[in-house]
Amino acid sequence: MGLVKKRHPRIGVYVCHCGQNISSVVNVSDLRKYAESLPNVVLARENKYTCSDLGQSTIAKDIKKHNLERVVVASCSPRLHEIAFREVLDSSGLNPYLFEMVNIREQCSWVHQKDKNKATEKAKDLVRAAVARSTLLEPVEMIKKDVTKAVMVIGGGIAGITSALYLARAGIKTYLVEKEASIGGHMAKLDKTYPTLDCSLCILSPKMVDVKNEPNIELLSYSDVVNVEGYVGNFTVRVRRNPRYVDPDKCISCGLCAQVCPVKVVDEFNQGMSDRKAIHLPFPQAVPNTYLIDKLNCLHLKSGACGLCASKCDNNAIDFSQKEEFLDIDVGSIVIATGFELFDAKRKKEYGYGRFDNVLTNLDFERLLSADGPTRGKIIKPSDGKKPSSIAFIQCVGSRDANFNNYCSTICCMTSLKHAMQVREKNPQTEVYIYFNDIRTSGKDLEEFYKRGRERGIYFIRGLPPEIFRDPTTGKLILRSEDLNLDHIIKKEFDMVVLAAGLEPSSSAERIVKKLYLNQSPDGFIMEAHPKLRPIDTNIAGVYIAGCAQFPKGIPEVVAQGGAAAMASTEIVLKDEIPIEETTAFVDEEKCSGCGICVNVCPYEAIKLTDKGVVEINEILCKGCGSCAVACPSSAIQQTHFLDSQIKAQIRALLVS
Amino acid sequence: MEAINGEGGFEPRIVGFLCNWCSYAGADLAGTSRIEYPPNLRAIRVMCSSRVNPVFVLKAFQDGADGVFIGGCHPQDCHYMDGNYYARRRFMLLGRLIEYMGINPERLRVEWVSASEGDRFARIVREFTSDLKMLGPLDLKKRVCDGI
Amino acid sequence: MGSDIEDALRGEAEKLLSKGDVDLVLGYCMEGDRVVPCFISSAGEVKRLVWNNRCKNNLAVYLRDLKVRVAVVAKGCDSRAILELLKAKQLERDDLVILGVSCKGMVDREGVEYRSCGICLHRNPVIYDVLLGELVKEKEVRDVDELESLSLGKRLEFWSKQFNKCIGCLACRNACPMCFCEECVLEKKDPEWITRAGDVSDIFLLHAIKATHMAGRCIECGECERACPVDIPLMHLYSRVCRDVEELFGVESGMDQKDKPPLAVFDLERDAMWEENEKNKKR
Repeated sequence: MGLVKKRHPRIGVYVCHCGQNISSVVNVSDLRKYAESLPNVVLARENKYTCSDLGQSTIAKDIKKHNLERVVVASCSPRLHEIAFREVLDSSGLNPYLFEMVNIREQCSWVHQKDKNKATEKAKDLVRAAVARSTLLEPVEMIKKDVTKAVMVIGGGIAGITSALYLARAGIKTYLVEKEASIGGHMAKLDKTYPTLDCSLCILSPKMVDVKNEPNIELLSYSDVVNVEGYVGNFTVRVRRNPRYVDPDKCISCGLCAQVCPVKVVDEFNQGMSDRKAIHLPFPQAVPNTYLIDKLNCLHLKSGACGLCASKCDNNAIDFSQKEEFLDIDVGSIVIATGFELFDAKRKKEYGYGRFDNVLTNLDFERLLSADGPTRGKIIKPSDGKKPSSIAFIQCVGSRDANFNNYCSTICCMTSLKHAMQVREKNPQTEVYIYFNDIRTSGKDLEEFYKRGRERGIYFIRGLPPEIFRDPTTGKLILRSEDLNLDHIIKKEFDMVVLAAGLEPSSSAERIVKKLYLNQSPDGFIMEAHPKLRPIDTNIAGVYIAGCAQFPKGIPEVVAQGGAAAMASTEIVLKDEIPIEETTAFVDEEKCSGCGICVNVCPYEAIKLTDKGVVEINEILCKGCGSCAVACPSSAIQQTHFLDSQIKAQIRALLVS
Repeated sequence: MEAINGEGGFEPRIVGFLCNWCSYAGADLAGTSRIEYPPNLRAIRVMCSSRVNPVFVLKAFQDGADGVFIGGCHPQDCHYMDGNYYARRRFMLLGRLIEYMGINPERLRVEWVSASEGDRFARIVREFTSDLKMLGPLDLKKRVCDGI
Repeated sequence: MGSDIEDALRGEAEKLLSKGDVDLVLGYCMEGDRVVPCFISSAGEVKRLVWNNRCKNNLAVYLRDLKVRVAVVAKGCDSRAILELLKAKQLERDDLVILGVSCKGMVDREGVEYRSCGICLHRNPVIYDVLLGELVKEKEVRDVDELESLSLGKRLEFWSKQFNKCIGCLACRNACPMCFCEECVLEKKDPEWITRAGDVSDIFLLHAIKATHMAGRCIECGECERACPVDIPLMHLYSRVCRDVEELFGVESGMDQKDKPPLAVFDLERDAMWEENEKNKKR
């Protein structure tokens, strides 16, 4: 009524069977007939699979042949194929925003299977609303923006290293940011990798060196990401380079400084099982291979005393005056490869980690096994340095546990198996037991690895001990558990227990997740855009994930994902310009009274009050939430493609009986 | 209280405004998980719960809705950072206003449903539908026009 | 008392006009036995200005489109309106000389006090350049609204009966100093939320929408109720909204120029707590 522009666009409606997914519940032919009867609908078709080649080309043909001005597709969720259908319109010469999708699958046929009549009625209501809305849709101009042709990879573990190398070798300028002083991540701490039992650093180290030598990679180690701003194609990342107090260009890693340093602290790399000096190299194969001073413990940095390292260094590499440096780096896309943190086994108090010297985690054990670890690869008890005659592994510590994390951490079964095999190899006399829930071997060659393990005389007990006791006189650790296969309780004593601690998301990722508004899965890992089809995209365009940051996985899968993320990020940076958010807000200056209430609600600072006494909206910064449109009492601001008039039409059409 | 019309016949009509990033995705997840829930809710997709103007809610009631549902992201998870905070304030106030004017505020339900909460979405629709069945039809237009 | 203030007012007005500090003085004059707002432009006319217990009009509503310097008489409610208009950038502080005056409540032609004055919590001006007369004691607590005791059904009945009287003249909006939108959403045609050719449910929506827009702006001057030709007790609605804004968001409109509009800000802890409260209330 009133002065609303009366338009009679020619609308084509396509009702999808989606195989049987929709048609088994919703009466598709009824729905199609109903759609045809709606105002302005000149054509209504049924399709088996509208998203298929045939379905899409039918639409394309109809647009031309029947001069369609709007297209409505009633099928699955728009979150799946809206973009694809919009492209069909685009390539047929119709503005892609003259398209409306009706969700009669995820929100209809799949959830109302028990009442087909009601489901069909609901589908009719939804189609009617979509037709009413599409009558009022208007063409939206596509805005394109220049792209910064660089990628930032956050996290220098094997995932980040893989991504960075693929990107750099494809000719793309890549920044690799790593919070530790050396890249390598957790893989650098491993002794051997399963199932091949090859030396972890032997396969990792060459890649680390490649990163160092790759001209297209700018490595920012010992650096933190403190802020991220921008949007796809135009991110600005603020990185803080922490001072090492050693000049990397002068340091030749001779180690003389560490020899004279009087400060001894626990070595985190060796999981606290050995010491290092305040000035130290993270580990022998570190990249960059530069010493650094731990400022929390260095006497000179704390109180001005000592300074022996500086006087000992022949190259004058020590520089106590170094300060933190902030860099603002422009990139077009970001790959997040922040990896994992080990579940803190202290939280499972019953297992006595931290109380009993001979209870270790899998990562502790990894260092114990390593040739350049705290014991030079000898398996000895931390309590007395003697060889253990028996070792037990307890699986699922912190995983598959309602008290901590519900999920399975994927790699712990195979890791414990690997450890057990190494024990049997180094000390064939040592008894090895693995207490488990289920042994999970999904991966190439892993079932065979499990078989080899059983052949090596490792005992597998299905049943987790609820608690570890320590005999105060003998020092032995006592485990009682059910043996669910043999249906009895067993009690055994061990010299050492290794807890297969699970994997949790890295806490260093928290800040990035918050700054970028990334979705997190219920378990805290960064959520992928779609669990099946888009495991490396995130909800934020231009931001990708790889490796354990997304979910625990083994090294081959991490590397695959790292490569995939690198490839995905090129879809942004190989273009010269990309389209940006189009459903932005706009203001009718004549209606704006300049009260400025909208300026307060914009989270992106996209609205400013001008001298003319009206507001101005920056369409590049606007992300299209629509909050301003509601804050404005006179609705002088509207949101493109989500106009008040369109929504009003939907409401009315949904409810008209 | 409004007229009780609990059994047989009365099917509440619910209009739902679902934000694209969280609650709409959550509703989709209920679908992929094949969780059954009553067909009384008709969804309108918006980009953010902050796009929902109180006038939409009032219009929905006037046009015949018995209940209006607004789904947004959990506080601190809004895709647009602050949108749901404004939505929260706006609808707390609207709830009080409609109550003062004689509409049961339980007919306006605001919930924060994340993209991974498919079963929760279904449960909310189930609960809301049954609550509205207890409350009976709103019939706002008729009641206001007839003056009762 | 009243005439002391009147003399002070006239004196102040004369000073300001003769010195050329202002171009106009906006105050109240007598027209027959009615008190009306008036503009005085010369020092010689200041005797026309009056101050008595019939000066109900909220003068802030006339300030909005003036491009000259004005001295304005401001009671508590007027001054709060001015403050809100300053916040909304509809007025320039430099263009105003605010002649603040405390109010003891205004009465109508029959000598009956207006309801909005009876429940008023801000008789003293909150912002002024000159204070005429003395400050008075304020009411401490809000009065209870009798409608609160009615059931939901009875309330709907009450408002439906009231809205049945409404002719959609929008005098309430016109009289309101805070309604300054270039295009009022109640009269918009694209989309048309309220149709002129509609039924009482459209009127219901009209008042509901206006009430939501007033949240954070309404300063309870009561001019809307006074302007209504069919005596709809609108102040019930607006004082309810103001009460809710104060309770839920902790801010009172028209008191501090530094306050931001309550629906354009948020307080995470407070809002979460109140959200919880509201949910539990309903169960």
